[in-house]
Amino acid sequence: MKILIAEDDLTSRKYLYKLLSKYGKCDLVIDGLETIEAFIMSIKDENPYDLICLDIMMPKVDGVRALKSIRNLEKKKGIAFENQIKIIITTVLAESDFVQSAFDNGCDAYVSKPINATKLIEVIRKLGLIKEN
Amino acid sequence: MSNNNFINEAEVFKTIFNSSPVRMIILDENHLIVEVNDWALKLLRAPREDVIGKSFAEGFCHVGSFEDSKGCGYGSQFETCTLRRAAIKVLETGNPVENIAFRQSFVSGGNKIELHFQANISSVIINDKRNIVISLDDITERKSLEASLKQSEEKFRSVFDNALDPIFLFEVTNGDGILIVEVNDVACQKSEYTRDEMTGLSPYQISKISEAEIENIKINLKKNGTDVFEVITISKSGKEIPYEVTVKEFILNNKIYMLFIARDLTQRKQDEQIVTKAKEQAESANRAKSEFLANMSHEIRTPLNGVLGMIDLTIMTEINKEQKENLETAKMCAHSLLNIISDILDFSKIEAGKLIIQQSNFNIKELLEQTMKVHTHKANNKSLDISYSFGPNIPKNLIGDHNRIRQVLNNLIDNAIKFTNSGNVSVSIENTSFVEEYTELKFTIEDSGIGISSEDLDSLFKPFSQRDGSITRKYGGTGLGLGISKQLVTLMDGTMWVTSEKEHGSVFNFCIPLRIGDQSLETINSTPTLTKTAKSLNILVVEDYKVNRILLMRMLKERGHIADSAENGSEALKLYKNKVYDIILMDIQMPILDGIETTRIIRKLEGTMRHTPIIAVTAYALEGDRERFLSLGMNDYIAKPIDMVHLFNTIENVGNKIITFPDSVELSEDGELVFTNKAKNKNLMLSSLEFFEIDDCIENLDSFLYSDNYFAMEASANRIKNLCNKIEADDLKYLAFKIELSLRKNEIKEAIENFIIFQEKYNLFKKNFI
Repeated sequence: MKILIAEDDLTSRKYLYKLLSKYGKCDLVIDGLETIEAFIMSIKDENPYDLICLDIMMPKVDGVRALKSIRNLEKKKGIAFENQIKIIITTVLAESDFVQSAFDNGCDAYVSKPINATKLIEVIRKLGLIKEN
Repeated sequence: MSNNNFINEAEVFKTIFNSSPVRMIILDENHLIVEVNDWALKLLRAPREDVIGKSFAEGFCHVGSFEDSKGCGYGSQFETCTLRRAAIKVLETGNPVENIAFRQSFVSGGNKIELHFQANISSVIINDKRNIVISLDDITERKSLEASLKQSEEKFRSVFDNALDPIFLFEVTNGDGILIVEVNDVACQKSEYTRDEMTGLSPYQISKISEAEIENIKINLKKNGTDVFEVITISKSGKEIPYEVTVKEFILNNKIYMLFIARDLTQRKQDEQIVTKAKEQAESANRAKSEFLANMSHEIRTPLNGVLGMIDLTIMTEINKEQKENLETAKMCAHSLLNIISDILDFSKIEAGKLIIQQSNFNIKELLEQTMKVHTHKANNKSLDISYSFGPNIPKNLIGDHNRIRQVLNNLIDNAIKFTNSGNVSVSIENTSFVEEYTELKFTIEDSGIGISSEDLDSLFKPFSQRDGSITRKYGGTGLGLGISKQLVTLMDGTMWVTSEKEHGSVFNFCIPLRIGDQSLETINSTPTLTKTAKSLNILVVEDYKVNRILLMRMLKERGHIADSAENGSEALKLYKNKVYDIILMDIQMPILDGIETTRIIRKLEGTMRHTPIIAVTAYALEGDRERFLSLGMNDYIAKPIDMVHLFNTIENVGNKIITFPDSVELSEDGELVFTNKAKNKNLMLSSLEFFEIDDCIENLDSFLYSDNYFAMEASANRIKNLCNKIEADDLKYLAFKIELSLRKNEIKEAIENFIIFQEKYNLFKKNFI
């Protein structure tokens, strides 16, 4: 599994990296613009991400905008709905407006911060990303 | 027995007296010497026999003693003789007198010597009589040292006080900060304090200096021993004076001192202000000139292009032969006028240093062929033979300003035909040298015309110098052409010269160095053919000038596109909200809501869901415009007057990109996401400077790679990514991004692998450009 972790806080980023490295190769980006760049790069390399963990509050371009752009680009590329990248929004509970907006724009799930490891893995499993052996 | 002892004792004391290191002279009540010891004799350089029984001055040959025959005690000197007066006092009172300063000249061995003494006189009773004992201290040397010290002090004091710059000596005390111990005269004058008032003051009391600045000075003193800084002093009456101060620290007698020497900056600051003001004025005048030129260019060309456009449109309608001929003539006149105006504008631009030589790929043979076609008709009308030829080894594609080369060729061929009544005009291009990626082309335009006399050759390239008025009347022309041609050739780093003889024709030559271009490129055939497009697009034309608008609409419709038009920004927005357009042609210079504002609003409305390509249409084709328009949300731009072929190509290029996945994303100044397909811009000219910057960063990254400084490595990689973005090297940008991502995960091995790949690709890329 190829995972893109978009998180601007260094500690959270390290935490997520440690947590998710077990399940696949992770790339770390620190703002919305880099998220979109990494996404474009992955499409060009024909090695797309399976999962994006997207923080809502990021500098330059926030998570919701990045989400919007990525879904838009996927549409342009003609990627079918079922083949779209699974995107999990991570957010502090206070940002509920954003959560609604995120769902409107096509995110698959949300996990509140501070991130509970078990909860996160459960969500990823539910999305069908972890193959049970 | 006691007698012997007594005698022995006397001997002992005599010996002691004689050998005493204190110089002693014993005088009786008549001031005559009764005893003197060896040391005193030595000082006064006289033998015992000469001295005993004589007066002090006589015995020791004091110069004053020769004045009066009666000797010591008489004469004018003795009234003021300190020794005598002291001696008299001691004789009278019996009380000792100490520290008598005594300076007199003596004669010894025929020489006059000046001696300084310090004498102490005490009294002693000998044989019931009072005698006086004089002990002398030779302080001659000490006195002379004191004198020279005083001189030295006076000298340095003079230097200090006569210096024109204020000098302050501060002592660095323990705990009381730094305080003034010495100031020179001009320091007192300027600060309006007396020397006493200034002593003990701190720097804060006489200036606006801050604690932080003092700390900084202390640090610099520790580092370098000296420092230079600027400060504003405040005089007693509150006057502020700016100074540049040098300071040096030194230690003297276990105390630390700081020596401040100040240079008044008032004049310099005033001069700086004058210079700054002059610079601003010059810059503003320069800007005004640029704007004027740009404006004039636009204002003049717009209606003329309108005229030409309308003529073209009319020609396309159903008209008879006569009407067509009339219109063709009108078109020629309009073209003529355009040319003259172009000449004038070029001339002004060159004068103002504002003419920019473009660099792009072009085919030199095609260029000459097209140019010759234009002149063939005219030449045939005069029954002249016109021909052209190429030398061998001329590269197919070259990089240079093909428009300007064409302009020079047109000018010279025009002249050749104009000034030749019979015979021929021939044009040839040769390759004169190859140096690395450059080749030098020599253009020769030869004619069998009226020639140029040697006097006229000099003023040939000067503007307005069409030799004499009669030529102008006979042959026409503004007289600017040759001057401009020469300037253009010079701006292209070339040279131009002519050989001619009156009535024997002329040969005009110019040489230009050109870079060899990509030989695989096929240049666009510039003969406009209005064929139907393969893919019809919905285009919105936003243009305030009616003539241009109608022209554009017509052309687009002819081409097969579906076009709507808007007269201004607000109309454009209305139309935009109602229909999905594939492309928007946005005129920049519009009143009320200009093209840039309209674009901004459209982008805001779009958010990230849509991105309608907007092509800016502008009269201002200045350097940096392309980047400016891109950063404002445009996709491309075309310059007015609009070249139809260029317009269609641009539209179709942009149109094709609509469905393709973007290559790159950028963040505009407004925070809008801009997705772009940067097809490798072959016309992008990169200077070595951009590559130097990247080279630097690569070196940086390399050096950090074997350290543990992940933060620095990431920063380097990030910089490289941004620089690659600037030069539109997408692949390289992503490679740099990959390096950054690897570093973020502390995957140093992966980072190094990616770095190696990056360097390989980068070197290849670099090779193609420089």
